Amino acid sequence: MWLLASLLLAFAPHTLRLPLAVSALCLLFGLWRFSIERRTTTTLPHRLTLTLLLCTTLVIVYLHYGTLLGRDAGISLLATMLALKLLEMRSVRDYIVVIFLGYFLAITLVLYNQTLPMAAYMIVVAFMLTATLVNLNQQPKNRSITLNVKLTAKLFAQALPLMLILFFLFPRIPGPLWSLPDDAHSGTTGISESMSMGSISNLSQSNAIAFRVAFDDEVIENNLSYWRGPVLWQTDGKNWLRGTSQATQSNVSYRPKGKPISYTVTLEPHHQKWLYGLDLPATVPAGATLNRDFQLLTPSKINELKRYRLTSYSEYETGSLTADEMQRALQLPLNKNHRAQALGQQWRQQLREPEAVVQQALQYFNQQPFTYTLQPPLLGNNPVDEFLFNTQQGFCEHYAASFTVLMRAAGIPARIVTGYQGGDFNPVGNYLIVRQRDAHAWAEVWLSGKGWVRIDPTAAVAPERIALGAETLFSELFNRPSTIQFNNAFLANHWLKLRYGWDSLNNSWNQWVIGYDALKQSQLLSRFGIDSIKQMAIVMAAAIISIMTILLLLSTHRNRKQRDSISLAYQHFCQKLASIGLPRLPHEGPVDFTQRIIHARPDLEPQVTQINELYIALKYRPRHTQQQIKILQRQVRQLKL
Amino acid sequence: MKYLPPSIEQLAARFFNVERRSGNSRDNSVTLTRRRIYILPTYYGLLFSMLLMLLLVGATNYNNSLGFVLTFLLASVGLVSILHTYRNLHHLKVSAGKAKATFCGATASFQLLLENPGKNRRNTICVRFKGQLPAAINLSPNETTEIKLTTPATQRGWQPLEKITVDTIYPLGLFRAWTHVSLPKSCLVYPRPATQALPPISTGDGTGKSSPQNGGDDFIGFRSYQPGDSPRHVNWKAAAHSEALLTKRFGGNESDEQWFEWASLQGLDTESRLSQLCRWIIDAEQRGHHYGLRLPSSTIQPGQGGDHQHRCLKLLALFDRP
Repeated sequence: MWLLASLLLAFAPHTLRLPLAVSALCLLFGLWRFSIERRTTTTLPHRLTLTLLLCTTLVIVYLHYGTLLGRDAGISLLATMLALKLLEMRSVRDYIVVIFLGYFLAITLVLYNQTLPMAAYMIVVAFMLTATLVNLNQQPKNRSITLNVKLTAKLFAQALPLMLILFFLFPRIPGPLWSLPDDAHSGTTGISESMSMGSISNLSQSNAIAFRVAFDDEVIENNLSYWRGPVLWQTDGKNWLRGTSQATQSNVSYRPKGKPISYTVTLEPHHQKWLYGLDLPATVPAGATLNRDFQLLTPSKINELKRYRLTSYSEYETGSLTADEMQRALQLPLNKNHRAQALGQQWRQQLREPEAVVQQALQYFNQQPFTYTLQPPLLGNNPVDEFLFNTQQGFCEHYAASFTVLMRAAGIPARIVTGYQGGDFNPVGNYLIVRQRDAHAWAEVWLSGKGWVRIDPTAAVAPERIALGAETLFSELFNRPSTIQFNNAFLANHWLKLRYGWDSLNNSWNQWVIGYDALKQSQLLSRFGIDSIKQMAIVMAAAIISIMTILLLLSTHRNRKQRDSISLAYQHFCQKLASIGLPRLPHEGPVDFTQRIIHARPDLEPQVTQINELYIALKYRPRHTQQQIKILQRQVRQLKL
Repeated sequence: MKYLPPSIEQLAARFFNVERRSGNSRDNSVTLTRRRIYILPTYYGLLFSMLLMLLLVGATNYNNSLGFVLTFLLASVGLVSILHTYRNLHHLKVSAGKAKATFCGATASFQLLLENPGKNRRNTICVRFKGQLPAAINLSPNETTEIKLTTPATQRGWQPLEKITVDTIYPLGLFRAWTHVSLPKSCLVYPRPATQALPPISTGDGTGKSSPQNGGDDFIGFRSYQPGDSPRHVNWKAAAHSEALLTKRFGGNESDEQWFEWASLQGLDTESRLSQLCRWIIDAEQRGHHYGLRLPSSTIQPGQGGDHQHRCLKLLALFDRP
């Protein structure tokens, strides 16, 4: 029963991820076994039936995934095998195999989700499986759930310090050991290498954390908090891509102005090959490069939590454009968005100066009845035209894309920058939290003498988006408890504190548990003077041995015979007599012993008799006082032989 | 409960030279201490460590910290379970109790006392002779439990208590702690009673009467079955109804005093003579006769009763034995 419950628990989070047929089959098998346990069905299925069922599930899994390998298919297989094994569980051996497979299922849980609640969930699953294992190793008649749960709790409590030592000191090898199957990191959201209208507004529903930033000095103001991601140049009128640059990586520089801002970013894995930095990053973290778009690139995908330090300048002046860049920054598909292109050209002819055209465009967004919405209407083949002249409802990518199209039509080099904007400050942990819903797109235009200038057309439509952040603006849209409108300011305040506290906890969790990898381990341990894997292993072994020894001493000292002060006094008495050649024989009771002493040494009679009487009284009568024990001890001490 | 097949244990025994070190106690009790308790993983323990390796590889491959957490948690639980397994035997006191005399061919049963002197509960401790199926017991704090171990009695004389295996795989079944205990306890094994009683050539004290044992044709009643009774005399019909076997008694002429003599059984080898004498003694005791025993080495004056029977049978059991 316990086994089934714990397996169900281990399986539950997978049910929606796995193919429907697989989930249904597993649950069916579990139910089957349950009815066997309940005695409603008594017979276990025949071997042939099992083989047939196995083949069926293999086919289902193969049809669904096109392979039997990889993470998702592997988990499907594991789950179905486990469920099938349930149907042929007979001996203790089978049960143990199932429990071990259950542990395996437990670890697959965290391949998808490494949050704090999932960790707790996983430990509960492991706990229940272990309790089942304890139960199996008891005689059937002595199986007591309370005792077993207590014992398991004790095992886990004692295992905790050992686990911590292993976790922090076990030499980590930077993975992966072999190339991971393609599906290893599917299903995660974040900004991608391309943008189409509607792609970022999808992200805006997500509360997931993109990264956290701890500033060395003070937190940057919200309207400067632009976190630079991919820069998009190439468009077919609908979609925006990075395009191919012919520029070499060499000449990446700009003239910084103002104060440098230093900070540390903890980036959640987003499975892309870049980092986010505040506009514009000046330093480059180890292993990364800064390209001509001022984007920080990494050689491999960020598949685990990454922490890096950066310095940025929020005011800057970039240099000139290459011919290639100029051409890419003006590229427009000829056959699309004619009205927008016409409008851009018209502005340029009227106003001449690029700065004036930029101003005109921003005014246009501001004065026309544009609205900023999370649910923009769907757009057709000429999305910019439709947006600018018909629907006029859009999210940041609509504004950024239309603005860029207008600029390019007016002959002003322009490009789209995607990334994040804003974030909420966590006063508990003193850091900025940037979430997926803070994803943003803005434009950059190149003006001679100034270089690339950031223009955020969204600010023209909804300035509060930039000033206050996405959450405040859309709070009524997010149906989350975190934004329930509290009438009571006191409650609201505490709710906020609780939320920040929780996030702060998550941040520490990420820093110390999830983000603890080979690199961080060597950093941490070198602070304690542990530099090599060999030293690590030695320290780990020493720590484990000492903890085991302590636990051993603690757990076995209660095993010894408990000697009270009465017995000790009597033992002392026996030792004294043994020293004069009258040892107490093993079978001798105190009375016999006394008689033998008196027989051998009549001179000792009064004292020995007294001691004997006192001892018997103290030992076998229910009530005695401390005073009597003291008398016994004194008499033994004063016994002269 | 499945137990470790012997191979690991045997290897370990060879490796640690368990035979040599296993404790022989002059005392009738042994307290299991550090030096006596051996501990090694069971097959499930090895399987478990393989599982851990797989989990470790998986966690490394996916760089999954929670995977490491689970792996290390399970590894630690496994390590801690060693202590629990060890503690389960540590300071357990095993002492030999009574061993009731038995007949050769029957089972010798030894009483063993297991004492838990400490404050911890002990669970699922198995005590057995080598190669036997285990009987598991639990001990509450300060509890003493008595168990009986049986083994076939194969030879008359003193049958020493064989080496006892005390082991446990509690709590997780991943490790097995065991020890071998030898206690200087013996069980007296009487000779195998002859199935067919020859008419005793007994020399009465002047009456000169000899009485055939069970030789009379008159059925005089039932008594409970004793080893050595002829199967033909067992009341099988009654045995079908109850668990106890009954032997039909046939009585003939009674005599007051009989002498069973070694010398009267000419032409038989030593063991057959002893068996025959044993049979006579049992039967005479059963009938309430007075009987005496005369062996080449010693003589027991006629008497009657349990103690007398025991003295006679013991003399037979130890005939020609040190």
